[in-house]
Amino acid sequence: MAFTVIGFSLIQLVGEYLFTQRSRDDQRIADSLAEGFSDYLVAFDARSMYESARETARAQQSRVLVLDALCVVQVDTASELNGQRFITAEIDRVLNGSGGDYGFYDARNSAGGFFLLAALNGFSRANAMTGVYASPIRQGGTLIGVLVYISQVQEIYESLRDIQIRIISWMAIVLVAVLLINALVLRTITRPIGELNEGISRMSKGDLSARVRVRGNNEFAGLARAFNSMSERLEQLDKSRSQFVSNASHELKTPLSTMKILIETLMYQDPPDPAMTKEFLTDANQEIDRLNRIVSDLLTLVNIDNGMKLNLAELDIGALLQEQVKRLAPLARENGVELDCALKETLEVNGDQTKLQQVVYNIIDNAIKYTPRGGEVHCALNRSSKKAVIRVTDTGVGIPAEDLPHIFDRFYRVDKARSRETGGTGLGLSIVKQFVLLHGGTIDARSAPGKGSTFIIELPLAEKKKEA
Amino acid sequence: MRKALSLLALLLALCVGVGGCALRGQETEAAGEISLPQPSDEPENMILGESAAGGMVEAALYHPASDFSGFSTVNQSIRAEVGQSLPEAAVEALLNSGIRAAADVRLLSCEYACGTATANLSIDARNANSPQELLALETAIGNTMLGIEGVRAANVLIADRSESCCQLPVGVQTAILPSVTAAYAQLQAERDRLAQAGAAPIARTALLYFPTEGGEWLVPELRSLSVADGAFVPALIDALKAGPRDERCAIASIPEGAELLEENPAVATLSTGERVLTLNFTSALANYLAFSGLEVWELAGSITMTMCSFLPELDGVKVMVNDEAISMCAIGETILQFEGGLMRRRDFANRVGSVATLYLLNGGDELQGVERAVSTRSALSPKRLLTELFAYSGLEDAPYRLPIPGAVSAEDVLGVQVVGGIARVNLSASFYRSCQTLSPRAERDLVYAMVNTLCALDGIRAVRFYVEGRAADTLAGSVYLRSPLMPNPGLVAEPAGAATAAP
Repeated sequence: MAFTVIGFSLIQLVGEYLFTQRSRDDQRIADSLAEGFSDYLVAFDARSMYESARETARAQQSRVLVLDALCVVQVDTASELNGQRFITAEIDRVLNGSGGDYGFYDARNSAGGFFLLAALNGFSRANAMTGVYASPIRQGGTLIGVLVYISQVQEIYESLRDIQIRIISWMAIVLVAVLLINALVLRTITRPIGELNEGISRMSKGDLSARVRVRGNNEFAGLARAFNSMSERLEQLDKSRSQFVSNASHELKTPLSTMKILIETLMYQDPPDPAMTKEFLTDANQEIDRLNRIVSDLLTLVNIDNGMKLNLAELDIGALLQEQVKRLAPLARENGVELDCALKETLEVNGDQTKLQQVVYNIIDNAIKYTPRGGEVHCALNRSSKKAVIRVTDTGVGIPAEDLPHIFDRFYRVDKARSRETGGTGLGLSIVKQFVLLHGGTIDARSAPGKGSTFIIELPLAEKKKEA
Repeated sequence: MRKALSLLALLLALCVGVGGCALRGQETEAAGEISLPQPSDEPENMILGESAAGGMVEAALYHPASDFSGFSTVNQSIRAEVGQSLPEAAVEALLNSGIRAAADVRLLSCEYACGTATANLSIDARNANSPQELLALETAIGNTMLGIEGVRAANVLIADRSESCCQLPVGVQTAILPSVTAAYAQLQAERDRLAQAGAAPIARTALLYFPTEGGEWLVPELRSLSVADGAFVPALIDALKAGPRDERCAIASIPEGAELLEENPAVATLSTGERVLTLNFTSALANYLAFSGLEVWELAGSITMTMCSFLPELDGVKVMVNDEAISMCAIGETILQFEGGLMRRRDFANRVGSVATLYLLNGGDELQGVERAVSTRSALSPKRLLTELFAYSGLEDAPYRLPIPGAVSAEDVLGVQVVGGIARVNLSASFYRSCQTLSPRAERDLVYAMVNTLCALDGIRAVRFYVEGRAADTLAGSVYLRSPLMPNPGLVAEPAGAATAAP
């Protein structure tokens, strides 16, 4: 737009300059002729006026009219308007006492004055812009006639039109370029943002399946990928949440249902059997314990999810491992499983002792529970680079390959019936993993069904230890 | 994309629109309240006949000095009466103002034709006391006539004869001579030179009179002569044989190439004291006249007028065929009889015509000047010229015409009055009605045919038209008639060949 305004302001300025120059020159000619024709007009010397006017008209490619005081054309270098009356706004002003005056007319437009169309069309080319200059012819201060000098200014118009065409051409080129750039910007910036915005909008409405098309390999593509990753994660979390709620409901409902059956049985027993009553109450009590564990585990997970704070301190991880092995040794003996612990060196980690104790306890407890009688559970601690690596290997039933990736999921059970039999809540390994992750470590499980499993916990060594 | 295309189209439209405005910004707005000036009311002015009311012309009258060596000039307003030329009026004014050396001298006649004025003085002019006094008188009259606009040559005769000075013909005066003494000394020197054998020829300007194609008039033409050994007569005959040069409506009177003269012409003095030039033609003259279509009077008049206007003290010419003098000839129905075969200048003086330029439309519908031989009165009279214009346009075989429907006649020009260089032409109502259906171009051509024709007359610069004495706006709606109209030279096509109409 600014370009348009500048372009046409330029045309206007150039046009005004050219027209001003031309009008000055032509008005000068008209004034000069008018002064020279004064005596001729008084003497009715048409021939002298005609010859002089024709000479000027030929030299200047113009047309000269000499009008008397009644605007009757007495001399016309084109000899067409003689005897006719001729007036334009300029002539009118001269008749009313103005000095020389001029105006520009389009020969196609006859609105300029009486007979103007005929005068201008007869001039030379039709469709030509024409300047009309009027100059008073005076004798002794009295107006005796008007000299009209008509010249073509079409060439000025054509020059301006050339400039105009050039500017319009350039403008069109610039506009096309702007459009192309706009399209490019639209494609590279605006559209990805729009798509991202649309994806966010869909997501805000609950559609977590919204994905953004990734174009190219720029920052917007990275943003799109991040968004997609985030949405995938959110979708997964949503699914997990749903699954978790479903699982939690199920896990909570199971002991409640059991207790309801037990209690209803007791209620409708008539007469009550004291032995059965005791047994049923014992079972109900167990279910309450189980419910209590589930709730505790769930609270632990909720705490973890809400950003659980660890009570970090440097601790001897080997001692911690030995302590837990020692603690579970009675259980191993009870289950007929051989439990041992091998420590190659003393390693210290920066961790929360309670949480790490629970990690190690759960892993070894699981290993004992899922190892048949006569089996073995081996615990070992060693260093790998800057990490302390705890390995708990059993010779138990093992974990099927399809279950292995999910064993750390909440409420995931490989063998659901057996798991409940062992009093598991399905949250133990999930809590373990969360605790390890809170310590900046990793936990991994390797297993071969029928041969046993190995859980590997890696924890970063304490920095102080390193400096020492 | 659609939005972008719309935006592009909008911008382009804006460009073109603003561009158009930028270019058209210089154009002047259409005229608003403008009006043509209105003429003042005029009283009815019924012009009838022809007059020159108030047509005073300033003329310089040359009065010889007391010693006849030069002139003093007196500017005087003169007015030509109807049928009178301005040179005639000027000479009358000069003679009436008490000129020295011209006591009792009267102007018998003054021919004014084709820009040449010939004053014919009464015989009293021969009473001059000396040749220089006579020369001063002739030169004063010549100068006075040459001072009138349009007069290119002046000739002075006394009682139809050209007077000599220093035994030499004076010839036609073509320039104003400020000094009589110098002119007289020049003539004396030429006389002395001619007396010597093998002298260089002397130069003179003569008026040759040629018949016109219509066979009605004799029109004068200036011719420069170079004469050796005083052989003025052969020089004049050769010039007549050469034919006219200037006037396209004139023709030669004596054929060139065929020798029709039996013997060299000679000037003889009769017993009555009259000097006579005798020309003896062979019998082949009749064949020539029949072949050329010339009348006898045209041949005789051409020779007589030419010789008597130049040769000193020549009273007349005798034209003989096979030694037999022509004693009579016919001009139309008029029979001229020549006593003793002596043809005098005055026998043909009333046949001197002039050439007027009439403007009519040619075959290409262009206005064209047509030269026609007319009487000297017609050549001076705007009303008669308009009559000639209408008459010529009405001829059946006329190659030129006026763009007016129906018949127009001399009666349609009710009157013409010349005032201050403006010819006021009063046209009839029937003429006005005839013009009502004219196209703008035909109206323009008709008006400017009249304007250009009248403005070809000396003293007329513009023409104002009236209808039945009243100012009329237009004849047919195009040409405005309430202003005097000046001639339109640009409307006239290139000159064509001469055309004369049968009388």
